Amino acid sequence: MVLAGQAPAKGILFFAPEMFWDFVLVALLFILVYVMIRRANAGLPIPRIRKIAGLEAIDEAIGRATEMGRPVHFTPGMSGFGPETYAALATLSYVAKTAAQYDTRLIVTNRQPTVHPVTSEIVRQAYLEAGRPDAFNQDDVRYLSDWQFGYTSAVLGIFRREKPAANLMFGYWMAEALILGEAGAEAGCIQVGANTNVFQIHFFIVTCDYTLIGEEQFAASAYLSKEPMLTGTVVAQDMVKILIGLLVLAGSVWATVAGNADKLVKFLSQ
Amino acid sequence: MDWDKLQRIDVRWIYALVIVCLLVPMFWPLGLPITISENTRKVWEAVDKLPPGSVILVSHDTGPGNAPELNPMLSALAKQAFEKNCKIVGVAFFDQLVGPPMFQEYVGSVAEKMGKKYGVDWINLGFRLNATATMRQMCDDIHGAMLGVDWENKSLSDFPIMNEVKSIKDDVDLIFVTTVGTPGYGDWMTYVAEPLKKPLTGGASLTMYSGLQQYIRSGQLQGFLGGLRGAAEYEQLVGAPGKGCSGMDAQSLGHMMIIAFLILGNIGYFASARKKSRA
Amino acid sequence: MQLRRQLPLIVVFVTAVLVMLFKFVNFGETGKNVLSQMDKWSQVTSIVAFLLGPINLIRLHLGNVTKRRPRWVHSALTLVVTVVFTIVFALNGSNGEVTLWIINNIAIQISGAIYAMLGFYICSAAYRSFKLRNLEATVLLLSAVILMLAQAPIGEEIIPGISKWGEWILSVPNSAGMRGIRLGAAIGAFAASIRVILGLERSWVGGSTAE
Repeated sequence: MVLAGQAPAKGILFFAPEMFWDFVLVALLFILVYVMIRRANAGLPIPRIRKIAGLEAIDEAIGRATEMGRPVHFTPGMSGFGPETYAALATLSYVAKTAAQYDTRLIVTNRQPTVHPVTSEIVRQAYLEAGRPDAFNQDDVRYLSDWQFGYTSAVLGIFRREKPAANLMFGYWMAEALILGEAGAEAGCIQVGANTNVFQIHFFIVTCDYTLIGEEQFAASAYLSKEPMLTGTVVAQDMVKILIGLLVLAGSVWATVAGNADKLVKFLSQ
Repeated sequence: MDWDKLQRIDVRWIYALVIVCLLVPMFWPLGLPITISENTRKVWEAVDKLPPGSVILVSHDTGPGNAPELNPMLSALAKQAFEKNCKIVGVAFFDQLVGPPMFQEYVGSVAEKMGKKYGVDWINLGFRLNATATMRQMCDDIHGAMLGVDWENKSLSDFPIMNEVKSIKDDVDLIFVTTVGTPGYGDWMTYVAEPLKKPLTGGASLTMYSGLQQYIRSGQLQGFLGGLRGAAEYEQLVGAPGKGCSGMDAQSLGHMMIIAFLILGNIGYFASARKKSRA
Repeated sequence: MQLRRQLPLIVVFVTAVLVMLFKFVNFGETGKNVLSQMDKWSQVTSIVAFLLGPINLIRLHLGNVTKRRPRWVHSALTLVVTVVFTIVFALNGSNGEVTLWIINNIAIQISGAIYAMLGFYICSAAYRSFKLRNLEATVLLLSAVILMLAQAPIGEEIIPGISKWGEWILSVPNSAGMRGIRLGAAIGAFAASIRVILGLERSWVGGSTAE
């Protein structure tokens, strides 16, 4: 049994070793989120999110596909359930509702078998909410392959055969980012790409019409829903970012003046 | 001439020229000299400063696409390590079907030439799923983490090298990771090198190289080899020009071709802008 | 229907609280063991969910074949390959000789070929996108050209010392930008996870983002 009496390793108070500041950071974000939710519930003002061109462009992309009578292609990325995928699913929810309202065909492709049923349910729900449940086509939400380049080649095939007018790539992307981005551009799609992977993000920048860089993707649910409670969580996130930025600045000044910031590093590693 | 056509060249011409640029150096090598970058020198130094008999843990975390960039790094490392009488222990976490056989082929061929014996001077522990959990276990118990067998399911206790190498914590002196993504350098840094204060170096595909610079600057990576160019530089440093160096001519021509198309595209762009402003 | 939506939210909240508890509080080896057990549960549940993808794949292509939709032959081929590979894998095992032959000589080669398309696409993408439209685009183009020259031996022949410029671009401005993006993305991911844990983000259970 796991509860055999091993002596816990040494940490600060009852915290696990090297976890104290991690806890502080998590606790701080939770507190800030709580405060912002309270403010939202009380009707107090919450700062607005700046304009994010990539998210604004979603309507434009779906609108163009509608005008051209061609489908919209959406993919929630390559990874399984993680923050990027959740953000992509929030975007899918919006895209599916808009597509259902405009009566535009939406093709969703999946690499992860675990994500596939969720995307299917989101699209079905969106058509239901749009009052058009009969327009939902199960065959347009597809699982392709969990092999990275198997999935990639299948999407290339869809670009060629079904000629989508818009290609929306959210979630987390790896080596296939350039292949899909460039194939989409060659197929004449208006493209919105989102990625947090710094090794691949530049490929979306050169191939897509709009790119959501890093954290912009995580603001999608708040931005698209305009829900004050969700916006509050983005504000809380930015506050923590400012705090960490100040810490980085302090460390840089410290290291510049003292020659190194070992003491600070040691302090924060507790 | 209608200059603005230069920004609408059919991509098939570009693709055809790519093939030509890659094929030409195979028949007519240019043999251009290769300068050594600071990052590659740091990798070489990380191995060079190890005392004879040290153990290098190599994680060949590559897939089929990037193997040509990363395999030459393994050959060069094996040459430098074996010359210093260092021992090599290999694992793989990225791709079961590529990492272990490639490690066997590239390290094995150098070992054979240098008279180094499998199981004594080097060993291939193969692939394991659940990379982070396995890495964490390897810190204290390599035998347990690799289920007590090498890549061909032979018992580790039968190999003299594994009687010396029980854990990363006590027995490994350098970690060398050839990486294309996750699992890869990030997991090794987070779960092994940082907690155990072990030096970490290696090489990455060129697309990843730009993203790794911050870790080299912070000292978390002891230099790093960037793609085929890094491999070629390392081959030069260890005095064994191989596949890395031979690939450099193709890279030179390929890059020059892209630059030429950039120039043509921009001439077309300005011609088109001028036409529009006149109209 | 209501329970169908709420149950996943409860499971996520309880699991997240437990993981944080065992991560942050010093339970020594016990904490590690509990987390390891939770990893195993997660793997087991993933395997069940893993079947849903292939089922969809077969259903879709079977429909294409039976209804003779355009290019139904491709679907028939997909079905044949899926069935044959499944039988081979089941009979020969994942490390069997035939299985490995198929993987090494077919799957890996096709995968490598698709990956190799990067080499072509990178050229056409650069040609199409790198235009001197404005200041930012000019910086992007110039740094790309310097790095391309720096990464190939011919660059040194044309402009001696260019590899040093390339190293500087990579290690100074590039590192600064990458750090910023990473930091922002990490905190963003963190906040996104909190939204999921607290049930503020519900689109993944088939509901609206904010209900």
